[in-house]
Amino acid sequence: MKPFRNSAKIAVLAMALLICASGCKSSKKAAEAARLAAEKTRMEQEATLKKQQEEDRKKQAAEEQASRDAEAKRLREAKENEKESTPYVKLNQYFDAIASSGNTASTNNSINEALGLFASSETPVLIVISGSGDQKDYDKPTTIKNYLNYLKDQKKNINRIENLQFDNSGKITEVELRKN
Amino acid sequence: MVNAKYVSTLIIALCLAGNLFAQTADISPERKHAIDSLALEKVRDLSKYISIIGNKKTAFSEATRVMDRAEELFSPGSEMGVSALGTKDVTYYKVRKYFEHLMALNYDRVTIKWYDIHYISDLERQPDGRYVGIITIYQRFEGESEDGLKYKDTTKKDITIYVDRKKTQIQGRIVEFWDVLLGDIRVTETSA
Repeated sequence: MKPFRNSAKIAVLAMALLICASGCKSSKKAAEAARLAAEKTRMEQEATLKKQQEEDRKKQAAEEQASRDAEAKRLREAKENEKESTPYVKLNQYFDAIASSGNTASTNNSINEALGLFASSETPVLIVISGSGDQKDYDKPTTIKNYLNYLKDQKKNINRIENLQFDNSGKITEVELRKN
Repeated sequence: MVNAKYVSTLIIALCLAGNLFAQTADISPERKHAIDSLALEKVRDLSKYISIIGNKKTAFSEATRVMDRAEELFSPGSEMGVSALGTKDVTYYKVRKYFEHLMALNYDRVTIKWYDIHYISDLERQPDGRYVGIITIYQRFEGESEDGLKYKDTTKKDITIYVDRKKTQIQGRIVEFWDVLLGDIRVTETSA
């Protein structure tokens, strides 16, 4: 009966060992699976982060571009407004008034008022007859006083204001006109 | 014989080089058109100045100022032809004298109108670089006195035009411009 009891003990032990060994194998598998899962999660997180960073970068670039566009638009509008506001508008109004007036006294008053916009009655007036940029063809330069009298005599305002230059006190120091 | 051949080859080469230089010195049709228009504009300006000077309602100070401006349109020493019906004689005055004569005409009302202003000879580049052309105008003159005396005529006149490329300094920088000047004004026809 004793050998049988020993055999049983061995069997139980073997069984225990087997279960133990099997348990170890399972925990290894589980650990590997966990590691893979963690790796996958890490990669997914990295991909998400990368995607997020890329989106952020694109968003930032778009915002910067929008900001630049807005600034350019603002400057453009400011320049346009500058042309639409004084002294561009004022000068154009004087040009029209002087060229269309039939009364010598009132024309002379307009000329004197208009001269108030300028640094001097000898302020140069350039008239572009063709071309643009560095390749411009000019008529013989004149002075603002002579040009205003020209408008008065000829009764035609055929040149448009292309550019004005100002001194520190806001007086016009140079006029560039263009033949229409 | 060899020398003659050499000389003729040299002449042909010089002609070709001269022609090539003239072509490169030419300006684009757009720029040329702008200069043509500028010269026509100067003639129209003169027309307006003459009508102001001749107008008896123009104050003396204004007429004098306008004469100064009109004189600036001409190259120095230019002359203006004056004709009348019934005589073939044409009298030529320096432009300033002509303006003064016009202002002093013994009429109570004077109207002068220029019309049909056009080129009869296009602006052509000369060897000295200047452009020269001729513009023709028709002038309708009407003078009337209070006593009913009236004189009218139509005169066809040819105006020589000179266009030169010049430089000037504006605010410290060099600006190149086209200087259009009127030359002699010759009477070619006078009719009622």
